[in-house]
Amino acid sequence: MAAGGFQIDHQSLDQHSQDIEQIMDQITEAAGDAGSLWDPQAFGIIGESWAGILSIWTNSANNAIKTAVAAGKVVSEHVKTMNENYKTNEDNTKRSFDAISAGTGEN
Amino acid sequence: MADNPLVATAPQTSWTGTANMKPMTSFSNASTDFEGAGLFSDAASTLSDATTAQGWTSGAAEMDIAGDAMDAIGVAMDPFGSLLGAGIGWLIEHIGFLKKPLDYLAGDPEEITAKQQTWENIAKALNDASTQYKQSVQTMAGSNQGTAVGGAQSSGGNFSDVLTGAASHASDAANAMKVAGAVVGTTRGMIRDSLSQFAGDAIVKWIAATALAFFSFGATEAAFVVDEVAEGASLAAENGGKVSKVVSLLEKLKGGAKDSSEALDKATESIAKDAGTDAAKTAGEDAGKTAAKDAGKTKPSETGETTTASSAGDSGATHADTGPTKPSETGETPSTGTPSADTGGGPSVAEHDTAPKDTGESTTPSSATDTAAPSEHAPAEDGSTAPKSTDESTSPSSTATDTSTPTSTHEGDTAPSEPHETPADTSTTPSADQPAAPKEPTLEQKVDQHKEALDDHNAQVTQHNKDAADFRKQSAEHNQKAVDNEQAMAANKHARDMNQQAINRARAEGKPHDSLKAQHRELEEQHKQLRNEDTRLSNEQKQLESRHEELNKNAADINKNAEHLREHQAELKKDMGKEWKEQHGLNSEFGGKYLDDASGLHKLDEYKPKEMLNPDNWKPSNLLHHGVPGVPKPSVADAVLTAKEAGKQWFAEQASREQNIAEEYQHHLEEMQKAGEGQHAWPTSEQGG
Repeated sequence: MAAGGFQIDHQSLDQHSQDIEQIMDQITEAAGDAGSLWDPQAFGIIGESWAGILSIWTNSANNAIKTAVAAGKVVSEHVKTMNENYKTNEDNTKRSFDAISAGTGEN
Repeated sequence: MADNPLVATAPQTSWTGTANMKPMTSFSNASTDFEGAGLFSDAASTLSDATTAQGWTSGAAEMDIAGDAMDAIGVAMDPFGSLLGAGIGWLIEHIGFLKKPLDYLAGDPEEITAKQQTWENIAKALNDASTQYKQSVQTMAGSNQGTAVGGAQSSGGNFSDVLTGAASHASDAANAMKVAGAVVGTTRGMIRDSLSQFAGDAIVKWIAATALAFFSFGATEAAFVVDEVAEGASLAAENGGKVSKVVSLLEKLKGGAKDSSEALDKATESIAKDAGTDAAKTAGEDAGKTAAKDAGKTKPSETGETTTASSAGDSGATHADTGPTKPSETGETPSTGTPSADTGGGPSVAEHDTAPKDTGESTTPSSATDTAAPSEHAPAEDGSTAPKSTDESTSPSSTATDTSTPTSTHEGDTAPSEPHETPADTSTTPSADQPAAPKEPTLEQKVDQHKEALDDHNAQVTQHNKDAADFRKQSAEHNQKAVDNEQAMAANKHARDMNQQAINRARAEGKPHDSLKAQHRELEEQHKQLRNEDTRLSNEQKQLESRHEELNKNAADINKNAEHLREHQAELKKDMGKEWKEQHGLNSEFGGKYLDDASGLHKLDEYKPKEMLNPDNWKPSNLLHHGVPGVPKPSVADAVLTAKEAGKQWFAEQASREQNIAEEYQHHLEEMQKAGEGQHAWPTSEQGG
């Protein structure tokens, strides 16, 4: 393939996109569970008075994870879009060359 | 939730039978097995801490030894009370109905350990995902080729970094949970041991005091009461050491929180930056849209024409030395500038038009689009630095490298700064009399201006491409004429030579040769015409060369403009990244503002663990006036805001509530009607009988 050209394995791109989504969903779910600080059974009524301090970490981690998840979804979407666009491009290019070989001069 | 492998759960430890009794297998779980068993539990805890390196480095082992010394004094002074207290404490920890109230009062360290484990699992999953993502991107790059894939690979690297950053925060949260578990465990132990030791001690002394009461006329009972008060004070003093341990842990927690907070700030900045440089989408859209569009535009007829020009140029080179009009030169002019000369053949034209937009230049500016993508701003979402504009903006640099042509009217437009500066400034000018106060356009306006500049630029590129195509066609026709003329001149020269030889022979032989002379004149006339044509072609070639230079100059201008637009786009991307960070980062409404201005629960500097644990501060009057000790009170403004929000919510739901009541009422009416039709509301004498 000439430089600047392309060659795409659509299946691997699809799989790649799905992998990202799955991992991100699992992490979001687990972070939501572990980030809950109103849990008297864990911290006790006494412990709840200072458990708010932990929100610094849990909020920080949750924010970082949310951002990472959002970025992951964007990357996943972009990979999907890239794949679809490559497919469209290939189809159009194929039609164009078919038209050339048929000698019709039009697509 | 249970299906999620990342979520850990706490083991059930309360005793509901013998099933939970396990032999001690190592020192590490000794503290769990002897939980609540007073001096035995403390000894086990010391053993556990002393057998781990972390126990010594964190100071836990030293604190345990100090606590054990106090225990030893207590055992020496009151062996029976201590043993009884240990028994009571052990029972509290291992009998379900005794353990539950203690859990609700003082917390359950194992539940917190489960949370810690979950955060560790998340951190591991994020790290694994980061590693796998890197590998996956490498695999994708291995099985795919193309500039867009390169962009995706680059964005993948950024994303991997983001995941690693998030993993470090999850790891911090796990460590925080670990410390929290220690605090809860210590507090719980303190309460449990106080209760059990005090009770055990009191039971023994009460038995002794009661037994001797008859002989001492009740004095031992009075002494018992006095002793218990003193014991209570002694216990409080003993617990002071443990309180200091909790305080140090809370201080550590607080200090670590600040570090984590600062780290998050950096990470948020990094994430915003990394998300901004994500090139996958644009790369994909650029490649797809542009290539699809251009592939559709490429007509076989155009392809054929351009190929002809190229061929002419090449064939012309073979006649380089044959006449005053040098087709080789004519041919070289378009051929050097024409991409088809390099690539050759019809399809290469399609590649020429398509390829530049698929090349790296398309991905670079379009990353600004990705900065906008995660943003919630309208200009970003509607494609302020949209792929369409982006990809087209990049096309000139490639096209111009080959050959390009904007007319003179477009040259003025190629001035890089003009498109960005004009619109907003004129719109904001108040009047002609007063000097217009320079007003900095908003980011959205800048983006709109940038879009306009890109549209102008794209129009130039389109015109340039059209002119270049015309030029190639014109050059090809010129080449063909030059070749034909050169061949005709060669044929004419040959004919003239033959004619001259025939005339010479006729003269030598003395034969009449009028027809030869007539032919000679005709050939000379033809020669003259061919020379004139040659001269005309030479002039035309000069014009073409001049035109070629003009095209090259315009191409350079367009390239320069493209470079400027890319730089401007990079600036916009940076600005968008900042704004995105302000919206979503620590200083945002959901991050920093909340941390700074909300209920105050998260204001680290206002947390005072020592005050929190000072019993004096837990007096009802203090609580009423100052709230929970050591924890900042919510402001009145917060309370008013919360009440307002609740009121709004209530009124917003009022219509729905009324609707529900009406429906319910109607439903009851219908039910009653049905009941009335089928049977009487009250049993009649017949039914009752």
